[in-house]
Amino acid sequence: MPLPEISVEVSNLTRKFGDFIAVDDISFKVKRGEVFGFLGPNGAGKSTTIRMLCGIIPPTGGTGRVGGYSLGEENMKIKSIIGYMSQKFSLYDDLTALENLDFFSGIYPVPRNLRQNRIEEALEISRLGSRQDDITATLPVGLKQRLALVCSLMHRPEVLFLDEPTAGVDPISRREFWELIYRLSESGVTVFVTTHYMDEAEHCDRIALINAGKLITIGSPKQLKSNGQKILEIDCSNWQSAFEILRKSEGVIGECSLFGTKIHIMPKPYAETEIVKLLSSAGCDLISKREVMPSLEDVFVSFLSRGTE
Amino acid sequence: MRFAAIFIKEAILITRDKRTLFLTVVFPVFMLLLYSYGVTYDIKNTSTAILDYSGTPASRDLIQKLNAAGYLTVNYNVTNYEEIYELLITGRVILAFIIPPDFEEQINAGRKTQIQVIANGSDANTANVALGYQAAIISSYGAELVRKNLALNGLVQPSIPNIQERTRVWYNPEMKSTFFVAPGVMAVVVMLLGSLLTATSIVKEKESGTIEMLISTPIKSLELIAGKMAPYIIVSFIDVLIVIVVASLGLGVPIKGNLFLLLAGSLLYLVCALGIGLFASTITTTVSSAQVVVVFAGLLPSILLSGFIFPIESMPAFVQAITYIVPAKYFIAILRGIFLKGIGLNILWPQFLFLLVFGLMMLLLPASKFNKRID
Repeated sequence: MPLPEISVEVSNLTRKFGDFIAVDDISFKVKRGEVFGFLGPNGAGKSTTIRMLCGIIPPTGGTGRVGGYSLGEENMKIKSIIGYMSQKFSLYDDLTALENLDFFSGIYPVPRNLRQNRIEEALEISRLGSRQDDITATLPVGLKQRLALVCSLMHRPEVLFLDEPTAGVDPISRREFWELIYRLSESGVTVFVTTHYMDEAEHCDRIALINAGKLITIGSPKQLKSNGQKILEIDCSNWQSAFEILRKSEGVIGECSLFGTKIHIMPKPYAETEIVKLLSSAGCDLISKREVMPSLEDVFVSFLSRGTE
Repeated sequence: MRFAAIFIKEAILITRDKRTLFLTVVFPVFMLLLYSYGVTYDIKNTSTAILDYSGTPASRDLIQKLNAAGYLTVNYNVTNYEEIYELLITGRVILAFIIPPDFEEQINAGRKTQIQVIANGSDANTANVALGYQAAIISSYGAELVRKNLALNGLVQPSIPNIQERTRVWYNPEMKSTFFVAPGVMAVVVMLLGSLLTATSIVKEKESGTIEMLISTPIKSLELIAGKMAPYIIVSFIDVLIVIVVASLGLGVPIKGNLFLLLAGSLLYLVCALGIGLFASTITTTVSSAQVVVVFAGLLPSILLSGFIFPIESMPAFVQAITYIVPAKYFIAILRGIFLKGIGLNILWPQFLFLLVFGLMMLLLPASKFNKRID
């Protein structure tokens, strides 16, 4: 059977916990082989969405398909073609690394004649090396995370769900981790990843912004940035007090945020003259003022502030 | 195949947790020895005080009789009431006898006489048993006096009716409380360890979040539960064997019935215990709350409502009604039946049937709810 071109498809997916709506009527599609980022603040509903797609909790509304199989009715088929790695790493801390790999190859299960090969490959990819017989709890976080990833790949899933996979991991390990993810995506694996790191979101083919259970926007990082508003970057002396003063007038000039020692403003119409006036009244010398491409963070902030208005 | 993966993982985790492993081996032996030697219903050498105002051959005769039976020991011969207060309030004696000055005089005159007995009711159980002993001693002494008096007056007594009992205690002729306690200890130990280990191992997966990973795999809840419980059935069964060996070789408890029937009953019972642990794990999300449920649903009924310590016949009717759903009650009946009486399935089948039904119910009910209970 040829693999479906659309790996994940949800329409009007909703999950309520009592009165609380964790995921509110969201719809999107993920193509095969895509690295799809789910970006949002803590508690936005990212994990809940992934848990529904993995068949861990049932949706309270809407429908979904994963790998062509219908969510709910064909959960068992879905479970055999997905890999899942959660923010808690989902490893057994008291087993050794090798025992964890054995366990995962047995639980999916991987055919016996393939196990030895898969385990050796997993050891190589995760670069566990001499630590394969160490108790998992004693491994450094970065290594643990790579181990969790190769464990969830034991059965060669078509779709990989990663829930905050890099939380609490050092930058070098994070980069190595993303290299692994690219290699997977090149080999045709769909990677569905949640994160709240903006720089990680930039690595994704497409991202969905989610906040308070609602899907805000969806697109490639480039699309999102170009659709977003232009940003005014102000470089001036005495930037701390300048930022203070500008922020007090956000209602007139637009949203302000600090980028290092520079100030980013999402300017409202005719705000520029007002900004210059404010700066000179505060005794700050304007060094430069230019329009820049917004970063994803700018885009995110602007979408969120639009959402609350 | 998935069952095997879970089984192996769980078995490795059991051997890796050295403290729990140590506990599962040492705890049953410790409990058995403690209960068998420490918790004895026999009362011997109850500390007793005597205030003898009479000081005559008759009173000394009585004191000697009280002392001789072995149940009471006269530790204190005092000369005034103050000392008796002191001994009772400090708990150094359980009983005090006060013999009046005219004791011998009244007896010789063939009149009724009285002695005062004070018991320390703050230790009601011991006092109660000790009072029983002293009453028996004093009444037999009284009967002896009557016979002496009749003989003294030249009366022969063919016409006095006299009933003598010829007592035989079956199944436990020496009435060793060890024989009686060992089955109860076995029931309590298996229940506690079986339910606790199962509940802890499942709830730990909830606490660590690995349960979510398990549910995201194609494993079925029955495979998961069976794979997790099988190693604990083995561990608990080893406990059963340890207790049987210590009880029969170490404490001399006889195994009069069929050993295999005994093991079969134990297997059914520990399935019940594991089922209670499973039940506790489905209604809780943390190890500590699961432990509380295990104590209330598994341990306490096995101690209090099983007939282990307190006879069920003397409980109020509604408490007696509750005892019908306590597996330990049936298991203790099986154990006492096989150990001491040597009876078989022809008598014990209702107990076996109950354990079988209860065990299956406890396993299947949570299994069907397992997936839904996750969030």
